[in-house]
Amino acid sequence: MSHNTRRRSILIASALFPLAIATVAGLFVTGQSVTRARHDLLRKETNTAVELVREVQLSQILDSIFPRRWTLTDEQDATLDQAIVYESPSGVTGKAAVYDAASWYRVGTLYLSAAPARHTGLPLQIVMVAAVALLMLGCAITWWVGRPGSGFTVRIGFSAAVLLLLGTPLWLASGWSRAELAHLTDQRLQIAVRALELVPDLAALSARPGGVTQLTGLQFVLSDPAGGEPFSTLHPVATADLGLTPSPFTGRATADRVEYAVADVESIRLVALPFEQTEGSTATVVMIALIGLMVAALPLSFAALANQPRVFHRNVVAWTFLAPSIIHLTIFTVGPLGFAAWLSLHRWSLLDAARPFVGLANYARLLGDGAFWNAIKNTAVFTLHVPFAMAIALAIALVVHRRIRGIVFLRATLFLPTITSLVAIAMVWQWMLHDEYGLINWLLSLIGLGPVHWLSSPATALVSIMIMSVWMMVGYQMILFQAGLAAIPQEYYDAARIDGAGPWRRFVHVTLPGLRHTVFFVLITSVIGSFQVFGAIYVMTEGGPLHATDVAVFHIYEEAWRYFRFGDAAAMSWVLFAIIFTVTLLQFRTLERRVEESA
Amino acid sequence: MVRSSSHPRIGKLLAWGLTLALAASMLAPFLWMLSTSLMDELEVFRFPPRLVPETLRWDNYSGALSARPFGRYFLNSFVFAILIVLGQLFTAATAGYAFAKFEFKGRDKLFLLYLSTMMVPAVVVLIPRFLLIDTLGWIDTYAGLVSTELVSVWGVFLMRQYFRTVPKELEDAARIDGAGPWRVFWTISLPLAKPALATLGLFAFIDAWKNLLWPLVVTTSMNMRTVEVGIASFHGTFVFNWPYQMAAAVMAVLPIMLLFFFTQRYFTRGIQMTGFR
Repeated sequence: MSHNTRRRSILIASALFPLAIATVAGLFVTGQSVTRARHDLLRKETNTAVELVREVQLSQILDSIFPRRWTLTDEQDATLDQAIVYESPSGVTGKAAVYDAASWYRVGTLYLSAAPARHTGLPLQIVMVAAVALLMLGCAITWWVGRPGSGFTVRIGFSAAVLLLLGTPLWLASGWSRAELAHLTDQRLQIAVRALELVPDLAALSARPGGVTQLTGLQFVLSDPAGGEPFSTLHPVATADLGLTPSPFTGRATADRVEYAVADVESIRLVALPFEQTEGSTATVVMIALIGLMVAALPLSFAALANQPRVFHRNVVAWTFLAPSIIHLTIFTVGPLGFAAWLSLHRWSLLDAARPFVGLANYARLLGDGAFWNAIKNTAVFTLHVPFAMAIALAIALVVHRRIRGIVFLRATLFLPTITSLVAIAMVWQWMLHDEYGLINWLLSLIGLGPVHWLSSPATALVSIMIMSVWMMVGYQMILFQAGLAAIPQEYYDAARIDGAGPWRRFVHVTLPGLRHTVFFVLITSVIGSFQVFGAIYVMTEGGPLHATDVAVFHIYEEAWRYFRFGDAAAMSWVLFAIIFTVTLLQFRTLERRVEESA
Repeated sequence: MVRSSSHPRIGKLLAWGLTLALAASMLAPFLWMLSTSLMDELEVFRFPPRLVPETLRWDNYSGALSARPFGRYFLNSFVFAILIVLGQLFTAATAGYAFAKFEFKGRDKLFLLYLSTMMVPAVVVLIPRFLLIDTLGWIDTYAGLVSTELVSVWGVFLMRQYFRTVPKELEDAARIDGAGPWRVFWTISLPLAKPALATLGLFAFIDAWKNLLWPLVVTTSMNMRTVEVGIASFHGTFVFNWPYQMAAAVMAVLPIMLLFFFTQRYFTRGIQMTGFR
């Protein structure tokens, strides 16, 4: 018995390790984001110095703006080369070569070393050491708790304590990184303001396109048209409620809840946004913590089985077999599903470093977004081709449902549209649907029907693609129906015939109920598939003409990879998911009811 | 109704006729693709259209081949598909085996969880997967292309169904000889599952070959494109040159068509075994 107890203790203790690793990794990621921000600040600072040299005397700049160590061999009429930033053992250093006025001889080098870090909270290293110490303490407690007879409350209390001990450092570190990043953002703004104050001809600088951006390195530099007022205040980082006007730099700037620092220098309003990727690190930390919890849950659930060695062994073996697929599904399916939800609550663009939390704003905007609902409407209309395809497939299956030699080969051709390259099929259909020289308009002209502007008219474009989809689906669905028909016992038909049932009655009362599972599956999988149509649209119409074929997945694709609005795209994809889910459930409900009624 | 034995001749004829008509309508676009691919660039702009080219212009193929690195596209598609096949065979066989052969805590719930991930539309995970691959620095690499596709839940389902039909006695004999569970799996169960593995491999290969959205998103350079992405962009460039486009289409369709004709019995088996696809 003591052997089992020991095993149980080991298992509980081993649950601590993934948690501790997750904690340390989370701390590491947090620390990294702050380091990156510091690095970025210094690069910006050095660049500001380089830019300023063109405007004012070098020594003046270095004395007044940058209270740092610097060396310079000859500063007379010097210009600076583009700065580089590198990391040496002693810290981050900015370095710029200094050239003479003719930009010919290199006269010296300007060095800028990083400002001493201002710790506004617990130093990260201490926290990390504490986490490891707590882990060891946790192990010791586990050995003690693992004794037989420890009750339910002890276990709950123990778990809570562990989570608290490991969660606290993460919580402290996140507070520290927030404060530190706010401080760095503020510092960045102060440097920009001081630099602007030094520029002798501010009007000329701000008139030059990109002049102020280049000098200050700030994300948003907006001229205040009302201007005229002198440099007034330097706000600390604050939750301001500025109505930012769209600037060509980011493409889109809304007055979301962004924490930024604002300063005015004469007619120029400076807005310093938080550092790149800082929002991203929160997501990473949350994800690491979740993975840690999931991994920790495994040994804990095994611990309950520790005193049944055989059952225990079977469970462990099963999980080794499941591990490859579970790990993959967690990382590439379940995790991303949660991450998509997280994204949909943020203004998240590839082009904009600030990725603020905006709550349900993305969803709220979707409600009034006509283009999105047009895409949903088109998708719904497109889905209507499924019942058509199924009716045709079923009709053919009923007629062809008999054993004929040689039919196996013919049947193979029915699969062709489903297995071959969709892009190639879409290309040939586009060619067949050509307005002037297409095969289909030619066939129509043979029976005296005028040319139809299949893909070039908004009225028929979607219908054209629906026709193509029916063609693609029919053969495959027919095969499924044939398999379903073959499974209906002949006796049922014989019995119905004895009862005097005609062909129609036999179809309604024997064939259809017998096929219900097949119909179920074909309908549901086809509808789910057609809600996700993309390839045909991408190749044949690109959503046009006049958005007549803009379907949901294509719309989401464009939102993300053409306009880089990942947050909005994620919200859209969740709405689509919800719709597909609801429709599937409804189909289950209504079909089940109908099946019950007819049975 | 259709099983009425009163007019077997007419029924049989009708069935034959319909099947032939259906097969013809399935093949027609492919034949038209082939025919156009051998026409002159201007010959296609004619009404009524010529169904067969005046002279066979094979140089459309060499022209299309030299316009884009199609060799590289084929290599990429092949590597992409083969790696995915190997990955899915491994993950599906192990997971399917666990679900079929072991009794463990929460097995049925976990299996239901597996199946429910099939409900998740690809587009929902597309964006996060892209960002994940981006953070890993795998954009425009084989690792980025392949890593997200290594598990097929349908494949897990297929393998589970198959392993359930494998009699327990065969494994028991090996177990009595002292073989561990992994050894039993590798030496006894897996070789018995060859037909199911062939089916899954075939489906995985075809699905990978046909995949457009993921390679489109995750590759950025011309040299990493797969055939599907490659001909889609080819289509955009040579909009008015239909023979070129159709030549590219024929080249994209041909390998998978050949593969299918030699392996179609595995294809139907997969559908029979799971009842859906």
